[in-house]
Amino acid sequence: MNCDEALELLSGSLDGENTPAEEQQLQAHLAGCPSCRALLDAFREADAAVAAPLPDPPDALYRGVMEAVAREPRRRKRRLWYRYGAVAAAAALVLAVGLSSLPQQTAAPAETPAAARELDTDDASSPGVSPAQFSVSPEAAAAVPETTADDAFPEGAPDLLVELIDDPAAPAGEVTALAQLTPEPTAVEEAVVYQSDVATVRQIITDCQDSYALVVPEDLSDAAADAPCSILVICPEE
Amino acid sequence: MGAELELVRRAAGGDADAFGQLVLAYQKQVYALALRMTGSPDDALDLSQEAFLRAWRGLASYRFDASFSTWLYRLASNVCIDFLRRQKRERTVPLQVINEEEGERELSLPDPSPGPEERVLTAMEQVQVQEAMSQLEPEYRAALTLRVIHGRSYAEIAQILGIREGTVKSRIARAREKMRAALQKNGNKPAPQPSKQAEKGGSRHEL
Repeated sequence: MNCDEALELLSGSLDGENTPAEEQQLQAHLAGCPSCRALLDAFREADAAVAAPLPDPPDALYRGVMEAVAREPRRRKRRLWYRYGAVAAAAALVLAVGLSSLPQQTAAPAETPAAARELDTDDASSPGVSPAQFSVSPEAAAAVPETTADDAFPEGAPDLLVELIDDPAAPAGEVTALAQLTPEPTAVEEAVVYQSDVATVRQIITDCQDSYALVVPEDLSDAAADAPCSILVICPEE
Repeated sequence: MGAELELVRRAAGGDADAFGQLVLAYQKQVYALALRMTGSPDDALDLSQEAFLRAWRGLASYRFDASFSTWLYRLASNVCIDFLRRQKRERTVPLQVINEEEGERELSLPDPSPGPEERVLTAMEQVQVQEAMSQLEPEYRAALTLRVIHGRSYAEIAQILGIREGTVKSRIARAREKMRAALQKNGNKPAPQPSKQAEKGGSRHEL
C-alpha cells in the first residue's frame, strides 16, 4: 500500500471506521513509514483544533426562532359536519384527521398507500383499513339538512365528522365535496378515504396514534368518540 | 429517545412549546455546525435560526424514517452549504474572532471525538482554524465538522449529506489533509508532510 492509499485509511483509523483488514494494512504500512506516522499525529492536532470548544449560542437564537414560529400562519383546524346517506350501513361516523407523518402518497390513488398497509393488521381487535375510492355525490350533499355547527349531533351521531388539518403531507384523493352544516357549503378537494372494518372513533384514533402523529380534535365529545365508524377521511386544509 | 419522539410528534402537530424544547435541546449543536462552517457568529446565528424555522415548517413532512437529529442536521447542513455557495470564495475571515466577544471562557460541546486533550484556542488560533476551514469546499467543511465536532459516524454523515459512505470517508481524509496543511502553513509549525507519493496522488483526486 502506498502513502496515497494510506491517507484515507489514516483518517478512517482516527474515526474507527476502517475494516479490520484495512486497519491491518494500515498498521503494516505505518510500521515502515515514518512520514505517515507523523501525518497521523498531524491529523490528530488538526482535529483538536477543529473540535476546540466553541461559544454557546446567544440567547437571541432561541428567542428569534420562537418569535418566528409565533409569526408563522397557524395550522388551523376546521370542523365540518356532514350527513351522507349512501354510505355502507355500518358507517355511522367518519373521522378525518391529518396524519402529519403519513408517507408521501403517489399520484395514482389506485395504488395502495403505505399508510393503509401500515394500518392493515391481522389483529382482530384493531380495524383493518384499506383505501377505497369514495366520492360524495352532489345529490347526497344537497340532501343534507341544515343545522348550525353549535348543535353538535342534532339527530344523533352524524355520518361524517371531518377535521381539516393544515398538513402538506396529507395525500391526494377522490373526495369531491363535503357539505358543511353551516350556512355556506364547503368543497374539499384532495382527500383520501379509507374504508375500515367498523370500529369506534376512539379505537381508530388510538390505533393510528401508535403509528403516526395525529392531530386529534380536542373537544371530541364522548358520544362521537364511541360512535361506530368505518370510514376514515384524510384531507388537507385548503 | 422516546421522550424526544414524543416532543417531535407534538411539534409536528403544531405544538410550539414542544418545538421550543427541541430548539433548546439542539441549538448548541446547530450553532456549532454553522459557526465552524462559516467562521462568523452573526452568520451562524442567522443560519441557525433559519434552520430551526425550516424545521418547524417542515416537521409536518418529517417521515420518522431517519432519526430526528439526522433530519435536523441535514437541514442545518444544507442551510449552511447553500449560504457558503452563495458567498464569494474570496470572503475574508472576520477579524472579530469566535470567542473574543464572550471572553475566553471554556465551553465544551457534548460528544466530542476522542483525541488530544481539549483546550480553548487563543483568538489567533481560532482565526487560523477558520482560515483553514475557508480553504475547504462547503461539503467538506460539513463532513469534517459533523465528524470531529458532532461525532457522527460515517453512516450518519452519509445520511445527513446525502452521499455514499465511501465518499464521506474520502472527503474527511481530504479535508483533514487540507486542514493540516493550512494550519501548519499559518502556524509556522514544522510540517510533517505526506510523502511525495501521497502529494502527487492528492492532486489527482478531485475535491
